[in-house]
Amino acid sequence: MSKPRKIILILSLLAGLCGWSAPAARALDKVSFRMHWVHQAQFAGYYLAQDLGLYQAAGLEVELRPGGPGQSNPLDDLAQGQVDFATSWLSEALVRRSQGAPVVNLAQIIQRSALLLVTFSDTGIESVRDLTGRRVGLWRDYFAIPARALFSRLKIEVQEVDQNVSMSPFLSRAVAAATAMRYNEYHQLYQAGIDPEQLTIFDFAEMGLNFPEDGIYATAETWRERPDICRRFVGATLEGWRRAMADPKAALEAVMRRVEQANLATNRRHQQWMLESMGMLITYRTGDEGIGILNPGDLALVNRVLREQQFLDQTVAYDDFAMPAWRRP
Amino acid sequence: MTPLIRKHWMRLRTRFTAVVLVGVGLVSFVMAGLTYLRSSDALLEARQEQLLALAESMSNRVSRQLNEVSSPARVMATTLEVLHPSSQEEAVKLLRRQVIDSRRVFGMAIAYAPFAFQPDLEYFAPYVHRSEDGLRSINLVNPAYAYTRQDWFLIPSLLMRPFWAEPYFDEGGGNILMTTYSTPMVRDGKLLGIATADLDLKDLGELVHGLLVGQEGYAFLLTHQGSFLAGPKPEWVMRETIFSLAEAQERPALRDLGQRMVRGGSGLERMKDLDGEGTVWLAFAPVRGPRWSLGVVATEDEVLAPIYALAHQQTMWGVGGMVVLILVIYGLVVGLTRPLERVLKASRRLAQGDLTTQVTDVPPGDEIGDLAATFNHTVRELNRYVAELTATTKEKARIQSELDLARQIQESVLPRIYPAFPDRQEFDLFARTLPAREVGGDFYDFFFVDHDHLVMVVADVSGKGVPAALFMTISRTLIKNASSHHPDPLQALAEVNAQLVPDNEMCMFVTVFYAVYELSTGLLRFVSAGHPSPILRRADGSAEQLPKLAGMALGIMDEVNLELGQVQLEIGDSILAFTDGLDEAVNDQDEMFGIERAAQWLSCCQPVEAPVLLGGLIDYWKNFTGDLEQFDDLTLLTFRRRQ
Repeated sequence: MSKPRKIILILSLLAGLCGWSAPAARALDKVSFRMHWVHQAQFAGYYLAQDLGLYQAAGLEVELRPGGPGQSNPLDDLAQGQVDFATSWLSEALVRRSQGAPVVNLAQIIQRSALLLVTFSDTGIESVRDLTGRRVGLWRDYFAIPARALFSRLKIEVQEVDQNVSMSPFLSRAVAAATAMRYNEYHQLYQAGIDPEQLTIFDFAEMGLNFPEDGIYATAETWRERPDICRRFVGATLEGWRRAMADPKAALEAVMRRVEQANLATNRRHQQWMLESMGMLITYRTGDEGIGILNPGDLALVNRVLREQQFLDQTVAYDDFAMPAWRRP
Repeated sequence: MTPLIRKHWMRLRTRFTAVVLVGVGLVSFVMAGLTYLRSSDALLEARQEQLLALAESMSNRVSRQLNEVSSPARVMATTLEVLHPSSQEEAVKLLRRQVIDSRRVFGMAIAYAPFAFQPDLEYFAPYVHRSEDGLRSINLVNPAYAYTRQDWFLIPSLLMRPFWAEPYFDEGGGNILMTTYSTPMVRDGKLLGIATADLDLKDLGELVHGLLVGQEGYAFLLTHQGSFLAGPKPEWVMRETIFSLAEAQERPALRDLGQRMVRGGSGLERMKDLDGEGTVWLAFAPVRGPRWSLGVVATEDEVLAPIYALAHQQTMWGVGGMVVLILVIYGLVVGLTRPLERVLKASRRLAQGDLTTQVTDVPPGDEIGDLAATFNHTVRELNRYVAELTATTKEKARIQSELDLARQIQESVLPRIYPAFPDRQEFDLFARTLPAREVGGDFYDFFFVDHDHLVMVVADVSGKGVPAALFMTISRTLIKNASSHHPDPLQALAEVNAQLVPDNEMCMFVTVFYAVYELSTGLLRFVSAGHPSPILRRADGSAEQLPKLAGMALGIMDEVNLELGQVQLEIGDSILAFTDGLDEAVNDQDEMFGIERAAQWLSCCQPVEAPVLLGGLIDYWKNFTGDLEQFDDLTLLTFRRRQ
């Protein structure tokens, strides 16, 4: 066999293997993707997939749409066909699905809940039970589900306060406890001069309420009709996350570029903290290679808690909900 | 001759100045240093107090300005607590009125608690703010905004006390960076709502920046959470906190400082600047009311400027003082050394041979005056001495020439011709004298007294020079005279002694070897008056000194007690008579030439003609003594029997 023919054979074999990655010659498929919060390191993997041309290599032209306070719900956008893909918390997605939004999970990005309840150590609150009758700042809707489940399990009642994005109510001691994400608000407190030893932290993941958070969603229809595009998008995104964890400097630059363009009120050190935290949350239990899987046990836990909380009438079956778009072909 | 004046490494003038300067300079330096340390401490303390006072006065000004914002809100709250607007329009009108009256206020709102304004109206929150087109009124009721969830509403309503919000961008409202004062309105113990007044952060920034600290200093304002309300870098507002800067720059001390600031402390810190560049001084004081903190930053150079100025001033004074000191000391030293130099110059002239030189222009009265006077005296003495010396030298030269003449005469009287008696082949005879001084005391003589008897004399007069020469002449004449009528050597010398002793007031004496050789028999009869015996060399080559004979030198005592010696000379035998200049000569190792050495030399020597023999012996002797000057004359006489 002559050399050129051998090379061509190998190339064609390779092309066949890389089913999800499109040949360069093909026209790019345009897809849009909606994130459930403003530009920040929470989405660094998507940025790198975009900036490093991973989406393009997968034959995609991806539009990244940030969210933020006062913005529409990503799953609503998804259901209304305004975007092809969106991020959402697992709990929210399950509830939406039960309410008729036909969404399916393509990949579970965050494996470990970053949700915390924080209190000042000097308030004398040593356990969640001590919150009885105290003002507790809770975010709205699905963000409050784990906390409510916790209180209900402990059979305590707290005085819920509608918590906004700001930690000022907590810092000004208008509330005794507040919800915080480990990668975001918790570090904001540090940057407001609060030392870790001044705080008492209740970590939901450690209290048997590990609700996996950010996941990638599409409508069932999209998955059914365009599984290839779904796979390519998810595959490139996960690769983007791997790159972000391998090269945090580049990831931080990608984040800061967007943050500065959007003129957001944050700083580099905070985004660096967030990025480092994301790595830990994404590879929890899965390691670097297995990222993206939705753990059936986690789904079962969220199902059960949502039913307890009467958000769900019936359990969502794993196979109906979790689509293996994350799995490498 | 090596010059007496060594090269000196520094002139006296310079050295004196340098030593005094170093001494005085050292003392001044230490004193100035102490003064500087003390004054700089005092100045620094004053400067720090000044900085701290500045921070406090600035925080008071900020506080007053904030009061101009918070006060209308309080007035509004109090008004609405007692007076309920009859309609929404009236509420808005009230609000507009208050905004117009409150120059510092950007906008004001009355945000009612749900159903508090009207039982059938859940939300009511009119907001009036300034804009380019004058006052604008809007209603904050908007599901996306949800004013009851906003910090400015939520926190004071929970705490039931006034609250200054963190800076925020009021999107949809004033569209500016602002901070809001909000105070709860209470009626019948229940929350009626929140009255607010906004402060444009731009105004606050202008106020803070208007209070510039020096040329490179700045002021900044931190909220209770450490956020920048105004600061050196506009981009820090809303983004950075003092703690985020500390975290990014890994400066735990800055974090600690931030905590002291936001907790309402006041104080002074020397530290790296907030951006990590350069060293600065930070004074901080709390702003009453919102629990903010105001910091005043001055670069260290600026804080230390008066101290630098002091150092500069002290240095200038110091340098000036040293210059004056140098001039004074130099003047003093010149006054001291100029006379010295005159003496020195005169000494040089003297050294170059100018004996007429004198030191002038040196006033008497001090040590240098004495030195000059002594010098002049010395020169005069020297002149006198030189004059005497010149005369003496002239005299000496005259004597020298006379001595030379005397020597010539002396030599001329000694028989110097070889062979002395050309017609007598029976013997070989020659003698030489090497005087140690111009005129020697040694002499020799030989002459026939009759046809068969030859007299040989070698003598050594005590003393040197002219007296010895004169004594020698006398002795020689007397010996020649006596030998003519006394064939017996004993009698001849006894007569000479008898003639010498009476008139010898100088107590001079002469040692004499006196020999009479009888040609017909070869018998040599001789006496030695205090003189070494001659060396006899036999024809076979053996050589030894003849035994010493009794006898004293002539000219001392009346009795000389001479002993007569005789020796039979065979053909080829020879004798060497000599004076003590031969055997007592020493070399540079203090060894004497000795008689033995002469005898050995003679025994080794082949029989040659007398002048050659003596020449060889003298060369040998000279070779032994080397360059060492000999103090005795050397006289040698050799006689050899031929037939």
